[in-house]
Amino acid sequence: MKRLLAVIISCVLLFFAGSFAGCGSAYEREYYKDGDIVLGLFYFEVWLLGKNSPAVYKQMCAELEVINADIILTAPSPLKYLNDEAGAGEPVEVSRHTYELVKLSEAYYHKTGGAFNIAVQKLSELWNVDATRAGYFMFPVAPDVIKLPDVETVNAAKSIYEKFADTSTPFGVEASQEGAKYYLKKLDKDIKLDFGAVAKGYAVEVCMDIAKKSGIRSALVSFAGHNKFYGRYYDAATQSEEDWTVGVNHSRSHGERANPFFWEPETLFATSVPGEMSAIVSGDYQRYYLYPYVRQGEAGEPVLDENGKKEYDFLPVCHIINPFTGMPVGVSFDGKRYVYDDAAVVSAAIFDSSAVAAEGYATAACVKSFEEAKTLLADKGIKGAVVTAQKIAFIGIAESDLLTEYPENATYKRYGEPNIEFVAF
Amino acid sequence: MTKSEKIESIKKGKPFRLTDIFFLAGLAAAVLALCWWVYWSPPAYPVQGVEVRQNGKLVERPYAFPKPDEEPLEIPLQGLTLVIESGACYVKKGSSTCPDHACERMGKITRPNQKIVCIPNGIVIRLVGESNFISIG
Repeated sequence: MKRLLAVIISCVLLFFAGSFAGCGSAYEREYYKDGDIVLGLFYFEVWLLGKNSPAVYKQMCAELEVINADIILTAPSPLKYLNDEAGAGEPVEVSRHTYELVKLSEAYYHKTGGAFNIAVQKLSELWNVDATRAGYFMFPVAPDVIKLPDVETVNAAKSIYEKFADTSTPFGVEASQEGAKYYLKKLDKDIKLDFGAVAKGYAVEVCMDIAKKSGIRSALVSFAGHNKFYGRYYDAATQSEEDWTVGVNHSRSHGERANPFFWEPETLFATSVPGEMSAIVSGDYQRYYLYPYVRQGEAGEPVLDENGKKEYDFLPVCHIINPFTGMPVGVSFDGKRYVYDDAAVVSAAIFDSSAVAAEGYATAACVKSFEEAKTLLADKGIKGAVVTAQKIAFIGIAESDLLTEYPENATYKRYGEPNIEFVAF
Repeated sequence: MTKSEKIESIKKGKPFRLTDIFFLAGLAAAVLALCWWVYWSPPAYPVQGVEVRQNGKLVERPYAFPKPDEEPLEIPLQGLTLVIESGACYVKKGSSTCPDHACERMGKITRPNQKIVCIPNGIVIRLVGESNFISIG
C-alpha cells in the first residue's frame, strides 16, 4: 500500500513538473500570431516570440486606441476640433502621441525638403481622397458626383500652408508642452492637418517598443500594411534563426494597377531583412479613383465610338497629394484640364530601422520625380526602391541582395536591362 | 511472525525493492516522454489551409485546399463568398455586400501569411503555413 501510494504520488509530481515546464516555454518556441481589424478601419497583425505574448498583444491594441482617439478625422477628436473649429491661436490639448507626431513630421519635412507635409488635409478634401472617401476607390467615378477642384481653388488651399514653408512651424501649427500637458495651436485658422502619412509608422514603433520592453525576442508588427521586424525569424521546425524575407508587391501587377475587375498581386522583388527593420510601401495603386474626361477632337467636339457613344479618357486621382503642386502625384494642369504623367513615381518601398523614417521617405519619394526620389534616398542613405511604370531603381540594395530563387519573386526583371538601376550610396 | 516483529521488519527494511525502482524508472521515463511530446518537441508545420476569422473569432478550422483535379470550393460567409481552389483563394466577384468591394479587388492569395481583409464585414481570410516570407504593398 505504501509502495503503491509512493508510485502514484511520484507520477503526479512528475506530470506537474512537466506541465509547469511546458507552460514556461509557451510562445518561446513558437510564435504567438494574432490579428484583427482594429479602430474599425485597419488590419493589425503581430507575430510575437516570448513569454506573455497574448498580454503584450492586448497592450498594443489598447495603445493603438489611445493614439487613434486623438487623431481620427472620421469621428470627434482633438484633431478634428483643431481642423474644423479651432481658431488661430486657440490652444487645443492633445495627447503626448499627437505632440510627438507633429515633432516627427516637422523633422521629416526638413529632411525631405518639404516633400513630406501633413498640412495637406484641405487639399485631400478638395480632391475627394481624404479618409472619409474610400468608398469609390479603384472605380471610375461619375463626374456629376465627384467634382475636381479648379486650379484657383487648389492654389488658394496650397497658399494656406506655403507661407509657413521653411520655418520652424512648417505646417502652420505650434506644438508645445507645459508640464505633462501638450497643446497644438494653429497659426492660421484655415490650416488642416492629417497624420495619415506618419501615424501608421509611429503606431508600429510604439507597438514594437511595447514588445521589446516586455522581453519579446522576435516579432513582426504589421499595422495597415506598415511592417516592422525585430530579432531574427525563428523557424520552429528546425529550431534555428534566419533573416526575414520580404516580398514587395508590384504596383502594376500584370501591367495593371489594382482594379475592380481582378488583381493578382505579383512580387516585384524579394530581399532578406535582418531584425530590426521596417519595410513600408507607398504608392498610387490602391487608394485612387478614375475621373472620366470626355475625349475631345481638335475642334473640341466629343469623340464618339462606333456605337455613337462618347469616348472617355480617365484621370487617375490617388490619395497622395504633392504639397508643391497641390495636386495628386502624377497630376498636373495643361491649361485646359488635368493630365497624368505616365513617368510619375507609382510606388516607393523603403527599408529603414525606423518605421517613421520609412513612412516619411516613402511618401516623399512618391511626391518627387523619379530622378529626384533616387537622389533624395541616396543622399540620405535610405535603402529602398523607386518604381515608375517604365523604370525601377534600387537604392542601397545591390542585385546580389535580391532573392531570385523563384522567378515569381523577381518580376522587376520585366523592366528590362536599361530600365533597372542599382544606385549605391 | 508476530505483529510487532512484522512492524520492526518493515521499519528496518528498504522502502523499495529493486523491482519497484525499475517500475518507477520506467514510469518516469514514460511521463517524461509524454511531456516532451506535448510541450517540448518541435511543432510540425501546420497543414497549409485557409483560415477565416469574423469579428475576431475563428469561423471554421482552416479549410484545406482542394486537389488540382477537384472543383474549387465556394464558401458563403456573412458578407461575401470565398472561393478556394488548389493553392489559392479569393473573394468571388460580385459577392461582397459592402459598398466598396475592396476585398474582391485584393485578388488571389497564394502564399502563407497572405491575407484578404473585408473591413465592413470584419472578415480576415489568411493562408496558414509556416513561412518567413512576408508580402508587403
